Amino acid sequence: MDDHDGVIQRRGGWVVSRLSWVLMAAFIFAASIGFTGSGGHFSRHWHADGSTKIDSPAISRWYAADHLSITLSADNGANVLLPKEFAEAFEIEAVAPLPQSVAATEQGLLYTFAFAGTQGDRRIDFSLRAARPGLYRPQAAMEIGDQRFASQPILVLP
Amino acid sequence: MESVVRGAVIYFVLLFIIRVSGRRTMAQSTPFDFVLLLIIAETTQQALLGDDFSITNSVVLITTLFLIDIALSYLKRWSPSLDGILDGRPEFLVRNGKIDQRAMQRSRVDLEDILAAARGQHGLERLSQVRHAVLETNAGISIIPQPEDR
Repeated sequence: MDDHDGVIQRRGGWVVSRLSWVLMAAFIFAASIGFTGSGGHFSRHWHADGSTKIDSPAISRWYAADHLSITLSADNGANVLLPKEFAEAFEIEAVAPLPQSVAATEQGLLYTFAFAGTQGDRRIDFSLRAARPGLYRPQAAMEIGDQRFASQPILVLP
Repeated sequence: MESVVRGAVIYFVLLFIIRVSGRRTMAQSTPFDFVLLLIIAETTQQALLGDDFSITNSVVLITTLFLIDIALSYLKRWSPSLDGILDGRPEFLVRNGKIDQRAMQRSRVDLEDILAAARGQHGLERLSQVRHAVLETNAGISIIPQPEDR
């Protein structure tokens, strides 16, 4: 009887071990396609409208570096409004190029950029760091010039 | 995704470097080897984590490293030649009481290491009491004594 119990226990252990391996493989696959943030298709939100393109984080990690990139076509300058929930989720460590001014409005942070020189596509990069873990659902839209982009939820993993 | 790539790259780079650096017996480890191990661990940690100290990153990295290890263990069982490439093969240092100088030079093992293993494993006093001495893939030396000394 004891031997029989031992065999069942060993077989149970084998099954649990192999099932765990399958779960681990599924987890790594999910990580590879971006479900745990830090690169991969599903870790980013992509928006494009005409010449304006936004690459923003969808899944990020607590206190890990991330970025928001905006490509736009503007001659003299542009305004970028980041929803306040976005500013709550991320510390904005640096902005390139430097904005002319930043104002805190009811909807969020309003960045004003002045461009000089040649015309064409401009790129604005925000260096971010996720401030705290949680699910953020921005209420306001992200505004770039006179274009509005519906904000997507952002998940910050611990 | 970045964590998975980092984990996999570091795993295979370390595997390659440790493999090509050759097998030294554990008995040959010096205090400096221990320091070197600590430096490698510290450097590897920085390469693996970067500036991402999140729990998620740690979990992804640990899972990646374990999965590669499990996958390689299966591949090595499936392909003995791959096993030979990754882990090497046991090597006779003494065969039928005759010392293989070339094998000892290749493995950077000296007579003292064989005698130390012989003393530790079987209490043998002389090399003539050793029938076979084999440098194992785990870098240890196995001693098989002459039949009359068993």
